[in-house]
Amino acid sequence: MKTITSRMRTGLALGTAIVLGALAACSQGNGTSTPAALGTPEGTPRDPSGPFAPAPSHLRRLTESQFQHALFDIFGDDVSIGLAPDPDVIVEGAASVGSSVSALSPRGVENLEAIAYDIGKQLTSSDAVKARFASCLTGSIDEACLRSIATKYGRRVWRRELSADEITALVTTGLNAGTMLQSPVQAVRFLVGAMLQHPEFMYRNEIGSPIQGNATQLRYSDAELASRLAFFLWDGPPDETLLDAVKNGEFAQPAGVTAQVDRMIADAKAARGLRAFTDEWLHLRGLQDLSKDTTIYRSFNTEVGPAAREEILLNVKRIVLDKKADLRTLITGRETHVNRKLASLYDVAAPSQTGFGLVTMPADVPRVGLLGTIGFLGANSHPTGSSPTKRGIFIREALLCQKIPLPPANVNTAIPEVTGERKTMRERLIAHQEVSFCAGCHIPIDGVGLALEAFDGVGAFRKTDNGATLDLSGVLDGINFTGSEELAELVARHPDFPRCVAQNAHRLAFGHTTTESEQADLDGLTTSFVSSGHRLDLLLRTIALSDSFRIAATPAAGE
Amino acid sequence: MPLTKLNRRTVLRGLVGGAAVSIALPPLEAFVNSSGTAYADGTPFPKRFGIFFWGNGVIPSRWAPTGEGANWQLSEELTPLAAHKADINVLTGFKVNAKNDRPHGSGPAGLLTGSGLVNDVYVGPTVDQVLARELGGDTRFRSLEFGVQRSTRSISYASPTQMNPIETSPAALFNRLFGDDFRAPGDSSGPDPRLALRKSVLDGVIAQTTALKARLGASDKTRLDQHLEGVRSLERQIERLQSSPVNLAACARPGSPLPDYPDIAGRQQLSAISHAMSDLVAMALACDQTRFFFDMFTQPLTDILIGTSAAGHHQLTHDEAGDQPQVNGILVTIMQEFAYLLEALKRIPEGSGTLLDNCVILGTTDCGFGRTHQLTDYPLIVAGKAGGALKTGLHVKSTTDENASKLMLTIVNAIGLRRADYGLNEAKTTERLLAIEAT
Repeated sequence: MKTITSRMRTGLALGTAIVLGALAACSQGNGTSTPAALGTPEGTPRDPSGPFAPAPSHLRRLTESQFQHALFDIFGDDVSIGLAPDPDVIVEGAASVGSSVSALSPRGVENLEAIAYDIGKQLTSSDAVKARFASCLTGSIDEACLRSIATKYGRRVWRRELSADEITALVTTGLNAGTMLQSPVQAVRFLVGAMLQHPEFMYRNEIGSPIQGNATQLRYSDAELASRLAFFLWDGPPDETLLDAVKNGEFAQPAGVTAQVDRMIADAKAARGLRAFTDEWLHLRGLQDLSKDTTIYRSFNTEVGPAAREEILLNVKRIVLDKKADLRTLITGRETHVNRKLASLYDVAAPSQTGFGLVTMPADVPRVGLLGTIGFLGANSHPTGSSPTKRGIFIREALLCQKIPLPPANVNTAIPEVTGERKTMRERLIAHQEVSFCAGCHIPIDGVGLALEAFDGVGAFRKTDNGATLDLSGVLDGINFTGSEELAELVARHPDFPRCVAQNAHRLAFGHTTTESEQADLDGLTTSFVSSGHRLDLLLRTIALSDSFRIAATPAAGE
Repeated sequence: MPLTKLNRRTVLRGLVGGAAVSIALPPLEAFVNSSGTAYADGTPFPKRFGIFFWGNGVIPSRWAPTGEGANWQLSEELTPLAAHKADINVLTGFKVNAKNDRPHGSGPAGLLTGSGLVNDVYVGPTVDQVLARELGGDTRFRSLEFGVQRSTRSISYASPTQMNPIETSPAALFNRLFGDDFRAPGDSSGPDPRLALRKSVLDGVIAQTTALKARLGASDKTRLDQHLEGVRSLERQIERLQSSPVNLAACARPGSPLPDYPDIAGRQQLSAISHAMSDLVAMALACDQTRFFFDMFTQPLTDILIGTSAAGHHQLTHDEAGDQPQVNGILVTIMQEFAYLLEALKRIPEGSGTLLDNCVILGTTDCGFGRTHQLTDYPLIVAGKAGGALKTGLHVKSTTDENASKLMLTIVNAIGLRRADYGLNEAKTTERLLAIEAT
């Protein structure tokens, strides 16, 4: 199943949301310029931005990955953690937005309890873990030992310093359990169980406080800012160093914050933050369940989807964190990370026996960048064949942030069958476009996706479709082109691309789709992203250090 | 209290003479009245409600039965339900009166919440959760959500932003229902002392959450209230475990399902998984572990490969030409699995009838005709008699696009929630579907 990647619409059917805007992409695209020299496509016209004002903040529920990272970071990566209590709620196509509006379901609350006690059990079971976590644990119930655990781990779990009363309450829970069950181990388990079920573990306590003389804005405390930074840049909670920096007053000076942000971006955990960004931006999570009809795609198996996701995540990491390069090379570059399975599907030599290695795609195959990956091509296809429509929609919605309306209900959406004179998908879709009702949207969508028909429903290169030669011409926002390489160039230089990247980063940081009053902020982020040479690492840093990341609108009544 | 509280006291009240504390496994007959419709003291059997859901609609021309009223013949797609024809009603010609702006999304939202999606979000809890919230407090689990197609997602919502995740591993569902915490009938050991400690921790969570709430804006307060509702429901679950297990004759810990059902040639073993899930939920109801369930056989808009179909289900509904023989075959397969669920419920005796007699099981999907996403001719099957509140064995045919909310209003009342209306705006109705109500 490819429920998430194939189309944000899938999420909709599951009760989640997308905001529909102008149908810009449906009213343009009949471009007639000559293909000889590729120009710059037209961007989406946009009204000038009004003055900046922050949006209200909301309590954010930990996402699935943040939940898992928190437990690993706090208790060590040898604890075993299954699923998060609840799946992410996808709103407006994004888990980060869903995290700002959702609460745990009753089942999620039940799961959280089970996980909390299971962690407590793991921390007191194996000798190695016990030695690290609770070395003070002896054969008798020891209040001082419980206090030391509550003191050390409480601030990590709740991401702030605890009051003396709060520590005592945790210790008391442990003592009661230990006494009633006559077990020092149970004392620790119940202490941990109580700590992890506290609402400030599952919900990020970034609330903000009134600013003197300003009735409309709240300002985050240093501890709250640290939490925001950590979840944005690391997709996980603050570490000891960050909590200590807050405790020692280092956040009082901007230089103190800058030093921590630079440390965090240089830390290995920044790769996790980037994964969360990339997963959400490129809809990669659906790849975990990618399925294809293996009677048609014989080399496909269930390893392919997760590997294809990893390929893209590794490519983004290489470009953004390792090479600190232009993000557009993700779209136009020929280097990619593959494992043996992907290498065989791409028909290149495997770079290593195990794991992933870097390869350069051969120049005689039109496979470049993101649009040449299985994580894009295979995900945006049917189980039994390619889908220029799904591919076109992905390019417009995910890469250019253009809005495409859903197909209207009560229409016959059947694509004509393969016949003697209508063999290729292009010929079938063009027959579909002859219905003028469908053409308004399908021409600008399919006009992009059809240029990628040299790749089948998994993403393997092909020269023919049902025996017929392929026509790979396309048109994108006024520019005619041919084939995937020219399409990649056009997408990378499209004026909507940098703003779309900035919009994705902004959404991840703030937990909502950029509001009207924040457009001015987005203008500034886009300009600085472009002038930095399309450096995503610098874009994330700019957001982290921005004034707007420290403030929120005071919630109005009813908000 | 509209529904029976099936605790130990109720059971003992049902015992002849009431002097039988030492009885380990009394025969079912001891509990029931002479006509077999209730316990000996007259309290009726609990009523249960379940939904069996699949994605992508049907082919209405191959779905609708011929004939109507009590005199009707199953259609091709409904043939697998032949053994249950007397226990089901099939409704045709009904319409979900929601704005159809989200293919595969508007239909279930309109049917289950009584409103289409607003800003693409459900407007409120789905009907299974409305019932569970009002009537599900007496059992260990307020409701159970599970599925067959691999996913964690459902369309069962406790509130607009609280989607109930589903369990799709039979082994995991077994562990939740019948694992260590389960106490079989006749288990006379005292409650686990850890239960009281767990409850005390949850009391603390309620206090902490209430304190946090005080610092928040209105919408975040509401979210934490939703969280608190989950905490309280967990507390009730623990209280149920602390009381002695109900001694229900048909209840026993079932055998454990297979640990894993690996895919075969890229296809999930849907039938084997669905059978295991159906067996488990039937026993969960028999043991009164829950009274409400949502079975997501497949997801809305699913493109899963089903049976021997040559393409994904959703793709076929749009691309398959003619009268869509492959889509038709998929529907027959899905109805076979629905039939198995009903069979599993009927296998369990309850009073003079079966467990199914005390249920309402709604079989439905995400649109009328998969090819067009229409909300007319909405597929609706109602199985079970709700303890005598409903008649079965009927084909109720509407020629006027009647509002499907009428059925929902009838179901809600039949299960025991007294409501005068169902739905919002154009989907709202105050009329029940009298044709299937027992007089």
